[in-house]
Amino acid sequence: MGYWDSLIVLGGINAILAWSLGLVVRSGQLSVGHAALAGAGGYAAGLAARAGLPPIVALLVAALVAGLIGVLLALVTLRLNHLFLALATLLFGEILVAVATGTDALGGAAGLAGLPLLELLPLVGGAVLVVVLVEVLVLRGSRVELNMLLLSGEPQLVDMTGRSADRLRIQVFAASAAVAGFAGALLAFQAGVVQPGDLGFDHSLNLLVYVIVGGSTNGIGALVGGFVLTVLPRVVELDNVQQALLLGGVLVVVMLVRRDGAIPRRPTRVLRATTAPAPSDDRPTLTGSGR
Amino acid sequence: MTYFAQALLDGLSAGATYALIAIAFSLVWATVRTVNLALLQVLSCAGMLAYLGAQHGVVLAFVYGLLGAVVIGVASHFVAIVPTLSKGQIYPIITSLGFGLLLTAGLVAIFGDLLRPVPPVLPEGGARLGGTYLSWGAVLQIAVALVLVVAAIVVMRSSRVGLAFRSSAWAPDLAGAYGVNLPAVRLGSAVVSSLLIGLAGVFIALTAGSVGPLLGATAGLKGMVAMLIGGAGNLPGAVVGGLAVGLVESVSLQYTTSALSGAIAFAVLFALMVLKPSGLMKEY
Repeated sequence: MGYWDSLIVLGGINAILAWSLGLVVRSGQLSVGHAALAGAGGYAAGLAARAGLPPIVALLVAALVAGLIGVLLALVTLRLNHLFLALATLLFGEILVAVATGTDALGGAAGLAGLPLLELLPLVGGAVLVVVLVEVLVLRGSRVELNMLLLSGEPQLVDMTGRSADRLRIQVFAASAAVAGFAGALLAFQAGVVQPGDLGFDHSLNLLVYVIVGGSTNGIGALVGGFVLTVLPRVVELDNVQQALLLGGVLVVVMLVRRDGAIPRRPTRVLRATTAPAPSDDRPTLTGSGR
Repeated sequence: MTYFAQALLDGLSAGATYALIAIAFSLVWATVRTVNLALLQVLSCAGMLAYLGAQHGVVLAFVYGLLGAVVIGVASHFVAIVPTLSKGQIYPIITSLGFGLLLTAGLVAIFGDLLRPVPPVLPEGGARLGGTYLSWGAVLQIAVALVLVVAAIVVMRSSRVGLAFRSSAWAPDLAGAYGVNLPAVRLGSAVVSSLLIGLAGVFIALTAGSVGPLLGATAGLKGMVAMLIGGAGNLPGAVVGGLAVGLVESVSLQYTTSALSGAIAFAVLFALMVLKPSGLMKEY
């Protein structure tokens, strides 16, 4: 596989990862453990491939395993929000890193090496296409999207529509984790190896930057953010430090001038009517909503 | 038994530093109800500046570290916290995260990402008690942390300044109506928290004997976890959380291998966060 091919594959995988994290972020939850979920998928796929399963089955196993871990994570963190959730997911990721490093069956610090290398360009292209179709045809404007948006601001409203906010939150987390696990397995089959470091929170933070810069309310924005911010720094050949400067700088600028990201979700009429802030929100209040 | 006592003692001195970091985050929380994640990198900056200063003696190590911490901490306050504060809790967190990424990248660009050996400028030797040993550096660290922590708690609890700090988080508009200068209070909390976290960074650099730009991602993060475990915004809680983190870490390191001890320590902290999301102690 040539340099450009592998770069585009990496960009596509990161786009899918960013989209999966974007699902969670759109529902108002800050996860800093998504690289760990993806890495869990990578390990699962690696073990499955070593057990002699065909790669395509290994990919599905990865999605399943990561999805189950996602359900567990969502269940235990159900009461946490914002910073608390972010730190809990971060700790969870670091637990997985330490477990992977300390378990001999998972290859210890060296990780699982010698995994089959696949011709990924068509596979990743297809996966991105599926994600785009799901986003545009299934999710966009649907009741699920509306409920996810409500979940981020007013979870009680979800309950009032007759659906359970908790259940929705677990479902979103599970779907997100399964997609992340699938993408993580693709990553493992591209590199031929999966290591504990791949699960670390610096990778999770990068994913979060992709989502927030690309569009934290819009799946397409997250996809574009993941792809562009992966490919662009390598095209103009930035080193690691310059890359980190770029990501940090872009994140600060986006948060200060355009906080819904480069490609925000333009609300449909229903979304606008339901989620528009009440006019009184901008006026000073005695109990201090304006902090 | 001696091993266990030594582990407790090591945990105590590490916990004292975590408590300082936790108090710094807690002070910010107590005034603006959010977290300035760039403070993690202020810790790294203070450590690296202390490394530069330590080439010229112990006094300059503290001067460089503390001055640098205040300058960078206040800069992060004005860039990341002030403009985003009115938008809700999550926006300052993400913006300061970006500012922190910038700081880390800057540090790595200047110093590289390897650990730098810090010249031993603290008095050598240490105190022996029974079979246990505590270096003078660690003794100083615990003593200074103790004094500052008590001072912070007393000031927050029972002075007018403390009242202004607390009320500006509880009811910003009402506090403003009663004459509390909100921007000044917020700036004040930024300065004090930067000082505390800078002090922690200097101590880590001087007692550990080496320091690198990723200090904030390791020790700083544990300090922040300590703040949340103890109860966000509660200063005594931050102390309890800091000591808990230090003890869990050193005791698990004493009895297991290094990789596994990391997993155990993180798992205990994760369990504490999940089982007691409001923290061990309530805010005032």
